[in-house]
Amino acid sequence: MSKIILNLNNVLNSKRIIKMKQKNIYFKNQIKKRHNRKSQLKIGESILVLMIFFILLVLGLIFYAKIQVHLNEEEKDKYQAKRIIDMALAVKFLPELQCSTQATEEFDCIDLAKLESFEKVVGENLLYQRYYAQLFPNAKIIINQSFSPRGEALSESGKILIDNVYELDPTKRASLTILSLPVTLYDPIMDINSFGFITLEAYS
Amino acid sequence: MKKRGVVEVQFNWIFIFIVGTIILMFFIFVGKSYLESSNVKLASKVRTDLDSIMKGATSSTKSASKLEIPRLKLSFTCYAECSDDGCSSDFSIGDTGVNKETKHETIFSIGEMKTDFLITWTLDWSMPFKVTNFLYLTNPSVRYILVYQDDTEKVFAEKVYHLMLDNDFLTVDLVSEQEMQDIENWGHKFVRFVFFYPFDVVDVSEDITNEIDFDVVILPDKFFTGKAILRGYDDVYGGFQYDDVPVLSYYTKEMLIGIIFSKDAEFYQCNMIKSFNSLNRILDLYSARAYYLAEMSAQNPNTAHCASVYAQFIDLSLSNKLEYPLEFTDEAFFSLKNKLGLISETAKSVNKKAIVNSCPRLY
Repeated sequence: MSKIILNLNNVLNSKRIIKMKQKNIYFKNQIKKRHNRKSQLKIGESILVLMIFFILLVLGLIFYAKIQVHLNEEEKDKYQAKRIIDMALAVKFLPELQCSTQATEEFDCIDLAKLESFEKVVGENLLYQRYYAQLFPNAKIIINQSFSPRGEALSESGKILIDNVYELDPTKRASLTILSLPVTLYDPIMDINSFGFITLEAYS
Repeated sequence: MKKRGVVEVQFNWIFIFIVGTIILMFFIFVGKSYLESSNVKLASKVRTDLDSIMKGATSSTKSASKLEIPRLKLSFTCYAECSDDGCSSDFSIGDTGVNKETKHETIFSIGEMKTDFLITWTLDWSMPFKVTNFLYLTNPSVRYILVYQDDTEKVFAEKVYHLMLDNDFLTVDLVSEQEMQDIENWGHKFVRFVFFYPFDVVDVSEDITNEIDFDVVILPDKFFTGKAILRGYDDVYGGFQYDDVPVLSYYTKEMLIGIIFSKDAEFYQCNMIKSFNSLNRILDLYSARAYYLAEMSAQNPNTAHCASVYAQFIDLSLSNKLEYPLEFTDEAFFSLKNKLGLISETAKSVNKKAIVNSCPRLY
């Protein structure tokens, strides 16, 4: 009897031990799972931080790029202004047009006889047309007479000196800058001076 | 547990290393791109400014200026490979590839320069009507030393010296052959010797030869029309035969100054081709002007007598367009010299007649 009780106790004990062992394994698994979750959470946090960092960086770059685009446009405007001033300077000092007295140049003066010759010679010579197209790219230069004491030497619409506008369709043309320069127009035949303008139309 | 901890710590470090590298690479890329774009931007700005400076300088005759510019390498090229559309010529800034073509502009320069200041000088070429402006570019680190041997050379050398002194910003010295040993090094980076005689040896102090780059221009003729030889440092020390080197011709004092300011013989020849293209164009325009003045004068009874005044210039028959001879021969030199003389004299004569007869002037 006592042997049977002892065996029963042993069986019970072994069952307890098994249960305890099972419990241990369960707890260990639970700890492992918790630990894994903790690690996953840490990686998640890091990735989130990185994502936010890169989002902020991209936003910063977009902001910087927009400022740069704006600055580039300003630079472009400045360049266009410089270009038109350079062209105005070039047209005012063209020996082909400038008035001269015994080879001494007169400032802000255009000789109407030279203007006529220029129109004729350049109109007939493709080589010269190409030269002036390179000198005044994408631009149109018109000479207008605003007041003449003894009749009009130039027509009311003026004389087109150079027309190198690249885009022939006016609706498709880019921004236009117009500069008018007051000049004296000298007629050597009549020996009279009149007042006029060089109108420079430059397309960007 | 210990092993897992070790793995976890290692993983963190690998993660930091990878992400750190990516971030670092990203910033290096952004920095590099920014640097490149800002270099190109600066070069573009300098190109635009220089272009404006040169256009301004070319517009005003007989002007000299010293302008502060960003310290970037400026390279001027001009090859005597020219077509109807101009010559293969440009100026570029640094190694950025930013450049500006100068197909038609006559610009004499020493080629490459890295400087804080640019010296510009403009002289006009007239026949006697204005043809074009010659632009000379140099910098304060260049010194010009004019050397003469005897009194006849001294007279001509002094004329060139005084012409160059018109530009206050140039460093120009006039010395005799005997004084060459006494030339001191003033800290210039480049010296251009201008010999007014065919020299045998450049007998200068070691102070100059050891520390400064130099080359020579030889002007054996003692006039503002003549021939010249431009040789580099290697040729001078390596030795050269006067018969074997390219000879350049010049027909005015502005052209002579052009040789003194040019990088090499081809640079000068290229600019001469451009100048003669301008001359042909201006000549066509003046011929048309003469024809127009004659025609218009004939229509008015008060000025009818003027119609014949311009005939001499209209009749001025030049068999071909004027061309600068790339290969020097006495025949080519004198032929061009005579043609230029004829144009100049005819223009002067017609203008004089026009003034005497109260007719519109030709120029």
